[in-house]
Amino acid sequence: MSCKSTKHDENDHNYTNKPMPALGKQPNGKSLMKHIYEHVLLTVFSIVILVPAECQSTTEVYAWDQNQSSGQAWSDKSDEFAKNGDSEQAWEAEAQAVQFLPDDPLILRDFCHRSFDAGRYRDVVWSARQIKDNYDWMMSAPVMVEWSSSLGVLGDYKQASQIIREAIQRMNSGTETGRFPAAEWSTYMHEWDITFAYLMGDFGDALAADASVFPSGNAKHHAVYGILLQHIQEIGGMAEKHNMRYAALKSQSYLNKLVREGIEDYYLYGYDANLKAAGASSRELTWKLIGWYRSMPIKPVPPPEAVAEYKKALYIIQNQSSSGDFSHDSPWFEAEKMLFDVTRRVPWWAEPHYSLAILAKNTNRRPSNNYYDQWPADTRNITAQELLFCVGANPTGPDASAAKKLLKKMKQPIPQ
Amino acid sequence: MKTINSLLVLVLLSQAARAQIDFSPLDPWRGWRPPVEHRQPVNTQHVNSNPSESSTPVSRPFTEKELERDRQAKIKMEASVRHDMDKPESVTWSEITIVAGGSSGFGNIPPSEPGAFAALALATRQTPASAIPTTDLNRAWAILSAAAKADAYGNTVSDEDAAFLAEQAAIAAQGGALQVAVDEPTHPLSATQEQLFRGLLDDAGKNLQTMTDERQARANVDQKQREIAQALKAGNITPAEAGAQKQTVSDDLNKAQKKSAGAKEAIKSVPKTIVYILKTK
Repeated sequence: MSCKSTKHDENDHNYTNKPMPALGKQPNGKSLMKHIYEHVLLTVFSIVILVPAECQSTTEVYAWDQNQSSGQAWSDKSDEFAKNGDSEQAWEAEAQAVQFLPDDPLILRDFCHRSFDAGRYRDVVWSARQIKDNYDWMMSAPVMVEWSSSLGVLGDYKQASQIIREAIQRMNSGTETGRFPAAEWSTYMHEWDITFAYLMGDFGDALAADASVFPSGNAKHHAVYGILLQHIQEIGGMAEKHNMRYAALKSQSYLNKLVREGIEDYYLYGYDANLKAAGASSRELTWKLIGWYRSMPIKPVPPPEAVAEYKKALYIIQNQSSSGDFSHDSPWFEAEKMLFDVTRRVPWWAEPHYSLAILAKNTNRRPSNNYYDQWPADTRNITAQELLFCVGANPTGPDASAAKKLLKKMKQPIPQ
Repeated sequence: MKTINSLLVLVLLSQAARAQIDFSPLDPWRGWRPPVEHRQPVNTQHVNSNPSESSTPVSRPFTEKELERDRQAKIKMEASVRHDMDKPESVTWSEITIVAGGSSGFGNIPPSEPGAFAALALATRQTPASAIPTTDLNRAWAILSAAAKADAYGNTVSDEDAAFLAEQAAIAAQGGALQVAVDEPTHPLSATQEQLFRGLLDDAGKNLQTMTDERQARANVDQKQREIAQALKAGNITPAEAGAQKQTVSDDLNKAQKKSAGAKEAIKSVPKTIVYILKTK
């Protein structure tokens, strides 16, 4: 039996005996390949030279020893990259370490952090799940928060909420204070819990979540809105930064909903100049999302809950009376609210824009809420704006032709 | 028209780049609500507007003539809305709640190395490629081919988006509800392409199995080492025999790792194979 060779080849990605693709130069100019080659050589040297001669006949470098050595070398390298702020290289090196040591909890934990820093959110989910399933005794608050927010970026709000609630429970139990220190993580975890409550429901759900954390009344109302705005922008920003168009479209559509609710339902942006600024930004966000949608090679479908809400609104209008005066308890008032809500949730879905435009055009009444930067809202303006969004989102869609005709009548420019 | 479309998208995207929203300057005004008098119901009519007598608006009843006029207007308005607006049956999107992305990895295989397309291999573990109906195959193909190539505006798909689309293609291959819209008749596979695509899926399934075998080989190492140590301690085997047995376990692990490395490389080359199939008539 002979010891295995540890010869390295920079072009060879086989990581069993001669691995390690070059990851570029280290800060000191020495190539990473050379560094790791030296590391592994030293390991073999210490086994061959430092082991007493009488024991050498029974000393072998087994596959698992090589895996341990190479995995640790990559992980050390990853630490160096991370210290120098190179999150992408740090992730690449730690990903190599995981290939050698997929069952090492410390490597998995580091891989989770490196993946989060590098915006590899699926890898965060994978590594955190491995720790949870196999090494729950070393699960910690940072891992659970990264896991939960990564699921948020990927759009799985239900699972994200479950994870953060488990983390809060573990923190509150007081039995794992070392890994779940409340002083450091309590506020942050509660904020994410509130955010996921909103993303799975509505503003009322966010207000109801974690009732003990904030004071009641108006102060809570404002505090919760601020938290939602910050965290939904965060997950949308993370997705956008890493060119995750589907995930970014989903989370920023929720941002669109939140901002418009703040303007139109809750009057959180005040009046005059403030409303103008917020309304203009909100309209810009809607166009931005329509632009993303248009640029996607394969179009996403509207979320099922929005589809259900839209169909319900159409059903009410087709089958129930308008009550004429649109009083607040009339079915058509409810249908109008639903249509507004669908256009906020899914601003890139053309058909609800058209339906809302038709309703506004024919009813010719002044809704009781704001509309983007307008208060009081004018039905003619709502009609024109919704028709523009309809044609902008899908210029060849089923309603586009009728929408273009109406826009022409209204002497409005027609989006191409 | 295509140029105009491109220009529009460029304008929209340039707007998007500027659209970093920061509402923090508005914080001091949060909570402001319009004065009550601006929020009164539209139909309330002020018949007594003298503020010295009362500041509360008083309504008078509508006359019969006014009510009839309103009734006729309402009937006309409702008919017009119902005629012009979309009908509920025109909305054909699924109302089934779909579990969003963020699954816990590609069949418990260490991620990243095999790349985003490992998700696709999972589909063939559940449904053999030969058993996938042609319609589902076309849907999967439409998604995958879009994920593998740059779009009309030159944008390439990011790793995370490719992983999302590969998952969607895997779901399509199994006939499941999707989060993306696919018009499969516009992307039909030719007979040759279909054969090549089924072959690609078959290979992906086999490669996934190879990677799973490596995980199993790793899991076996500790158990076998314990068995060898116990046998040695009990005097059932000599140290030399123990060494030989450990070497066999090590060699098996090495073999599994080498095969798995090859499988990962093969899965990484899936996008290239898709482009090749696209070019095949």
